[in-house]
Amino acid sequence: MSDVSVETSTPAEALVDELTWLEDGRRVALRVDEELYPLDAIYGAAYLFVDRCWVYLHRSADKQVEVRLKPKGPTDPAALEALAGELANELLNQVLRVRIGDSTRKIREYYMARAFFSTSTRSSIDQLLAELDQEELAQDDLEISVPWDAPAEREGGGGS
Amino acid sequence: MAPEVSLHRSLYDDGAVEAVASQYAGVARVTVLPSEHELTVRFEQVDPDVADVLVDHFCNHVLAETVVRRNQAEATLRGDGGGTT
Repeated sequence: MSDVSVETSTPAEALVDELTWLEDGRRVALRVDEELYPLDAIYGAAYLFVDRCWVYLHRSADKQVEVRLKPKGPTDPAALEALAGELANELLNQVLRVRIGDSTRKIREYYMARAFFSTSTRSSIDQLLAELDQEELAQDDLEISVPWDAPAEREGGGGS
Repeated sequence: MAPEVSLHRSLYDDGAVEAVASQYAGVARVTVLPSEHELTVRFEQVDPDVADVLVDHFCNHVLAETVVRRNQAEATLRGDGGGTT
């Protein structure tokens, strides 16, 4: 027997729609609470629909934005309802994106600052050239023929 | 009656509305009438070929321009903030 109890008595009527939408056969309007969905998220979600819908933002009340979508092509009530659902999902995606952006801003700024204002006095190309020079000097000091230098020598020697 | 649309100033950037309005001079005479909370955009002498989609097209264009300008402004602010630390 499991000790976990699950409440299953919540009636459907008790569910509250946080997002309400209206449709008139040609367009759908979704009322969005700015306290829950920041304006940046609303812009981000609405912008994703401009290629297939005519989008209009309306200030329906204080801290409330009504996003109206009118498909550019023919539509029907089922398609409009699906569009409203898609917009609601996209709003959630955008809220998450905004929050992640905010929470990682400091670390991103830190890495950008470090990349731009590095204290290194020599560029990486200079360092690589210096390493190559040192390798060549080391070879000269030893004066030992190495296989990777051989082809040119062999080609020259083979002709004689 | 000339078609017009009201754009709330808290949602649409004033500069974006003006900039986009100037681009529609070829298809209509566009006038932007500001009030405290809204910009009313009036379209007169509309080219009949585009009359049915003109206002909708204009709204999409202003929304896109507003988003672009907000992103640019935020990027600029972030750049300034990074330089002060």
